[in-house]
Amino acid sequence: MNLPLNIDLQQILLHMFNFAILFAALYFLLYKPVKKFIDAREGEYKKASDEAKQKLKEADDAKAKLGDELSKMREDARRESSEMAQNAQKQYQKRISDAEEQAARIISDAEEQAAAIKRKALKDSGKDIAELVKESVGKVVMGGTDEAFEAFLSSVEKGGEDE
Amino acid sequence: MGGDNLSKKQKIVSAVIFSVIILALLIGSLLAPTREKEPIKEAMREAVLHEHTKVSLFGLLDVNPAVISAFAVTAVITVFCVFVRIFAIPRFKEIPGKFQLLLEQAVKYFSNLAKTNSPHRNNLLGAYVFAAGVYVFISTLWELLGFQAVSTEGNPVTLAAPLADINGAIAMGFMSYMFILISGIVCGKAHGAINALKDFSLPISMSFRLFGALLSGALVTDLVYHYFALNFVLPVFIGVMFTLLHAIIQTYVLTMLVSVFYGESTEPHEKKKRKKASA
Repeated sequence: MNLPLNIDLQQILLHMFNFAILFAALYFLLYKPVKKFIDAREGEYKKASDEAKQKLKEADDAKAKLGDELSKMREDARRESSEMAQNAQKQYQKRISDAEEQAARIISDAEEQAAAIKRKALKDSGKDIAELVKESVGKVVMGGTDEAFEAFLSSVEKGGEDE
Repeated sequence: MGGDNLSKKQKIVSAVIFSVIILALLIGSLLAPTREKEPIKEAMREAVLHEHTKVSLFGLLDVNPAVISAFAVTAVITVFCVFVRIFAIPRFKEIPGKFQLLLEQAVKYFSNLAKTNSPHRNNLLGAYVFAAGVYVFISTLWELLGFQAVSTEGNPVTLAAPLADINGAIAMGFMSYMFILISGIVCGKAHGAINALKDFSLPISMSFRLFGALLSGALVTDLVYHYFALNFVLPVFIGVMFTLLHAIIQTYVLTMLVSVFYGESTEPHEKKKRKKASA
């Protein structure tokens, strides 16, 4: 069938048939095997790249985890150090206050003891005076008034110095 | 170099023999009887329409020389592919050599062209544009080789590029369009078919673009060879300008157009999704 411009349907079909054969040959003999090889190689590279990325991610995660643990440990150490310092301060304050209480108690006891000694001394000196008076009166009554009187005076003076 | 070892006498003898051969060829070409040269108008008309020059296809039917060229190109490419498949591809290495790199780049170029222009369903498109690209490129360069055939009238005929024949160009254009249309119907159902059908001028434009581009190169080449005075030096530039560049440009244009229209035809229809999204 001839059309204008010498267009021939039979020859068009022949060209199509020819190209179909060429397409099949190129596809099965060249395109598909070469593409399969390229894809396989790209797949291997992608797999290696993915594995490397995964390992990198794991390393980053481990690093971050270690960093967290380190900061946590630092925080714990800081807190424990602070608590220990506070405890030490409390113990110091307690010891100071205990020492002060003990000192106050010692002073108080000492004052009480001193007061008791004083009272006892006064009490004893009163007894002594009474005995001396009694002795002196006895001597005066019995004789030797002047000597007795002198002895009385000296004993009184001694008693006064003792106090 | 071997020539440096020749004696003075041998050099003189060689020069004389060479000169005699050249002279004999020149005299022979001038004195040999030539058939009557057809006028330029007839030559150009014949180059465009191939009305009278027919070649017998295995004695079955008479066809244009371009059909023979097409089958010859297919045969050459197929034999090359068989050799590559048997001897080269099994020896491919992870780090490619020059030949492996050439093949990989060719396959990858067309595969990427398909992926870029048609993100959906591009496996077959990659194979098609690869085959079309190789066919257009090699068959355009085919005319540079100037193979001869015998016409049905007994005259020698130069086998032109298959796509410089309008029947070859129409076959290529319609096959590309049918490939796009059928893929559109398979992938996009009615929407894909409508997408492909609305560009009804595509097969005509693709066919005549190929035909026009390649025919213009063939015509210019024929014109140059028609005049004896233009047969020196100039054909080198003409061959590069109108054959090599056309081969590259037409390969690029056809494969790019097929990829773009295939991508449009097979892209998923998202109208319903948009409605749902807006609701």
